[in-house]
Amino acid sequence: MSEPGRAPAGASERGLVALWAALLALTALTIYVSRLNIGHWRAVCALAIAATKSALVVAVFMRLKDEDRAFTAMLGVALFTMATILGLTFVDVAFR
Amino acid sequence: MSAESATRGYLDAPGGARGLRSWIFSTDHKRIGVLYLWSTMFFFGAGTIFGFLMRLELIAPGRTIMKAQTYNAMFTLHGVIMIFLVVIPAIPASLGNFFLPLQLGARDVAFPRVNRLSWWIYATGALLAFFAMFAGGHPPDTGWTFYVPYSVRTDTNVTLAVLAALVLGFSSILTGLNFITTVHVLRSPKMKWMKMPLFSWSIYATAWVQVLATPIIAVTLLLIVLERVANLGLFDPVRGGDPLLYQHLFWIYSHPAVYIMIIPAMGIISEVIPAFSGKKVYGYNAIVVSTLAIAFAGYLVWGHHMFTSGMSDTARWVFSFLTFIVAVPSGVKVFNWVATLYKGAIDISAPLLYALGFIFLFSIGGLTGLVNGALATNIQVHDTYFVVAHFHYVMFGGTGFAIFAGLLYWFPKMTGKMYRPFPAIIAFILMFAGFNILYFPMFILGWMGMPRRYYDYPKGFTSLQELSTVGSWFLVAGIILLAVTLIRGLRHGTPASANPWNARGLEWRTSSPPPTENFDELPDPTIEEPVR
Amino acid sequence: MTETPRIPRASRMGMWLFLFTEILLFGGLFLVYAVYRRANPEAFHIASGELSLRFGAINTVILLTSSLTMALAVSAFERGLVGRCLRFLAGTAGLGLIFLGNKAVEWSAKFAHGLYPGNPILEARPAGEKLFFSLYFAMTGLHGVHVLVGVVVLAVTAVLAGRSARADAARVHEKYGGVVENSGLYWHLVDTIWIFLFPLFYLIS
Repeated sequence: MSEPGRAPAGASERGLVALWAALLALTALTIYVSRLNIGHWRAVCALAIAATKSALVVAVFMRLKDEDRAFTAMLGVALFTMATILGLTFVDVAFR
Repeated sequence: MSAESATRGYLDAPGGARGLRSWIFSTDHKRIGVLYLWSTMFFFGAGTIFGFLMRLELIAPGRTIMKAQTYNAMFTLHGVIMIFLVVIPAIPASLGNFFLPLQLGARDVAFPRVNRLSWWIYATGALLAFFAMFAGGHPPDTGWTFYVPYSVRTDTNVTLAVLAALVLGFSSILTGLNFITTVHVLRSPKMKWMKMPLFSWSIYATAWVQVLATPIIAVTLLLIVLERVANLGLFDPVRGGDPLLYQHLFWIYSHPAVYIMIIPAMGIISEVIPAFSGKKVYGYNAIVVSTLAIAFAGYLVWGHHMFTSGMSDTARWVFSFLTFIVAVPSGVKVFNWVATLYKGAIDISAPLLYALGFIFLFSIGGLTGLVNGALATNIQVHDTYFVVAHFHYVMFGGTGFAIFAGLLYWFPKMTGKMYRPFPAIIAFILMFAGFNILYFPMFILGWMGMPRRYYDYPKGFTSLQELSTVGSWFLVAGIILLAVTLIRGLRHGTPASANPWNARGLEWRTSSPPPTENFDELPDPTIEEPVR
Repeated sequence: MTETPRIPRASRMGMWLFLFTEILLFGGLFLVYAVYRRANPEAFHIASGELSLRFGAINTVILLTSSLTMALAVSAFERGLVGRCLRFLAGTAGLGLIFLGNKAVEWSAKFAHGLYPGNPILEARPAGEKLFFSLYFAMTGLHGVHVLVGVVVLAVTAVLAGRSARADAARVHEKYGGVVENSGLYWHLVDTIWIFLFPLFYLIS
């Protein structure tokens, strides 16, 4: 029931710690950016940084990058569904 | 793989057929499917009784047999039971559970213990619903849609009812993720995607909707609980809340939910029609694509339940346009089924009759859906009997009749016995006639302005209401006759062979009933067995 | 140091599918947030100022670190280092508890200042601020429940697997591989949700 030939996968412990450091750095970055006076770009940057952090967690900590493409496709379907729901709701809310 | 099997297969598993424990604690997908079948049919009976009583009340204007508050509770419970306890789980969790692994040439689903858990959770949800009905004597009266602000203010057991629905949703999610994984991981290695049976495809597509849509209703109902219990005020206009947002959240699930109901039903029809036409289905690829298209497009149209609620004009025409698009794949299927029948060697038996009934009734339901979906006519018919007729045609005439078709088709496989065909055919005639007499007048009543969920009505509507109620009597008679026929078949039916209908599909290559491990030897799906 | 294979693909797939339902679950609340923030940008901005950035940032660091310890636990398990794995599991659970403790402190502070739904002080504020706080409690509350469930699962796993390892080291992988890896996936998702909650509630003032 295991996949023969598949290495224990996942990053080494060093790699994991390095990722953690990167996540902390991104957290510091997002706090810094939130203090800048850049109008509505603050929200855009905050979401972009959050998305980047999540992508790293998903790819490395959750090992999505080591899975076959079906998993990524499925995640895509789920996120696309969420985006559709948000988008179509805003078609109402934004045009009232 | 004997033609006549004297053993009772999975029914003879340790604990036997009678030991309750052996059923409730079983991890065999076939037993779990049967558990779900009994449960959903039981609740179908309960929901039918509520409907029957409602129609008795409506046979004449004014009070007939109950007061207004009772009537409000009845239509709420009728909806909650039928939708959450019957039509959503009925096909996937019962027939889907039983036949998905068999059709795929597998020995069970991917997660048998999760499967068992999902039934336990369903039973828990059913218990909660029962308490919601009877605790304190205040059954909910909001309609199954639980719209705010009334659902937040009403002094009835809304919290309990909503928690029941939440729990039932969780059961649905577990079923869905089990089936998706089963199809990906346990499918017979020689069965490519585009060789999978159409019923299995429909279960797969439905499972995705179960997984991705149900959490939205979970969080929405959770918000209702928090509004009632913690005074959250998120839908309270006085505090800046938007009641329309509740409707969005509610229908974001509840529209895909109707596709959870209809897609597996269409899967059954795609199995039954070819089996009784002596042909392969016409346009397999088109049916697969349209199945996935319906599942996908089902997410895009929820706003059509809200055309009169105050949405922006932009939203209204966008949703209306998308609604018209989703009708196309359904039309493709109807065309393909009829094309399958064309020049086929038709065997008029009960399963086929119900399947033909489905095509007729679903088509009426679908076409009237277009009337609902067009903005101008929607204003006339929204919240009237027209809508009530429409959704009963698709959900009952559609999914309901498909359930019966599937039951009659797969009965010999599940039980190892055959029912008497003649009463089954009489039951169909009673049900088909009764159904149309019950619901067709509602289109007319609705167009004339009769609102839905109303306890009373002006005298001018009486004759059509009377006709409708009489129709319900024929329908119920047919249902009772069908139930009796099947139960008699279960008890005293003649033994059934492995493939009494000479149908294709791996489930027919094992004994009736199948052994617990499904197959003595896993079958090779690439070997075509001759049909007739 | 024996290497163990990963749990079956089916088990991972099932867990990922379950996580999608969690994404959609919170997604519904994010939808409500998005709609109300768009309608009340000023009020959200002001209300956010009531939250303690320090607490939010500390909790973010705690949760990110707990994700690290969780990933290290799974990594250790796969390399056959059961003891190391259990220590990391315990550490993850511990960090989760600290997170919850901080949350409790934050919430109490809000209650003490009357900033909860229905309280006259909050009632007197503009509608947008009321919505902000209702969302704050609903979303961090639901998230907190998920953290708590995770903590319990991890703690119980650590204890049971620890006992099992002392009794029969070889079987631990078979018995607990699924739970360890799948709770890892769950924990990371809970962390990911916080990664979005943090800026949306704490960084918009």
